[in-house]
Amino acid sequence: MESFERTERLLALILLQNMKESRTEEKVKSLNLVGFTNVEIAELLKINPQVVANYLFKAKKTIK
Amino acid sequence: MTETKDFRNYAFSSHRIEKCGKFLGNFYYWKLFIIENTLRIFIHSVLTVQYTEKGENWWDDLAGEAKNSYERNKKNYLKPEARFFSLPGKHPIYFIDIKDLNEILRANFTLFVPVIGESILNKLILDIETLRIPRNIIAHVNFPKKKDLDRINTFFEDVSVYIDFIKEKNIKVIIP
Repeated sequence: MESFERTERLLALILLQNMKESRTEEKVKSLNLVGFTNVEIAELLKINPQVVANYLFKAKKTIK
Repeated sequence: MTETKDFRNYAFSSHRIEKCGKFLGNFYYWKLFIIENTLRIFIHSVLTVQYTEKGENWWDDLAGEAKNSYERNKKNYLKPEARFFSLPGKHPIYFIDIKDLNEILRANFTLFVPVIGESILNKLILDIETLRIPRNIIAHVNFPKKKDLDRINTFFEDVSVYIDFIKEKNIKVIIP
């Protein structure tokens, strides 16, 4: 099933290409910042959605 | 399954009332129970992982009519005379009905799309809307027509698919 539009996927891939050297946590934060949902981010990075949620929870806690 | 006729169309017979009650209980009520609880689990599991900051407390951030229904229903359950009876459940999602579950799906449309896709989500919202009246007829202890019973059967056959979708996305199935 196509979860999100092709152009959105392309933008995500460009962003990830530019972040090749970054840690998964950083990639998660960037994708979240441009508006991808946790499930979409998990799909793009091939990780568990709960892991995405945990990274973002940790990140938002740090900002506070 | 032999056809059971609406007792209200005949002269009073306690046997006919009993037959109608057993028919709906044995063949339909349990299906509605499964449908509504499966939808609660589906919604809770998806929103738990999609609402990063609140996790299982996604309800706190919810806006809209579902929350108003919860507040209204909770007040009724917490009346002094209601204290002799059970509460629906710990999570607010147990205080609301299928119409409000649909409101939650609508209000969080973009969070459910990545899980089941836009067309299936639209189908689910429409299916819930068409189930609402047959469901209410049974929940309010009336006797539905065959076409209403058919709607319940169709929805029942489809509902487990939504749990399959969340498993496919590696989303943990969580009972609220």
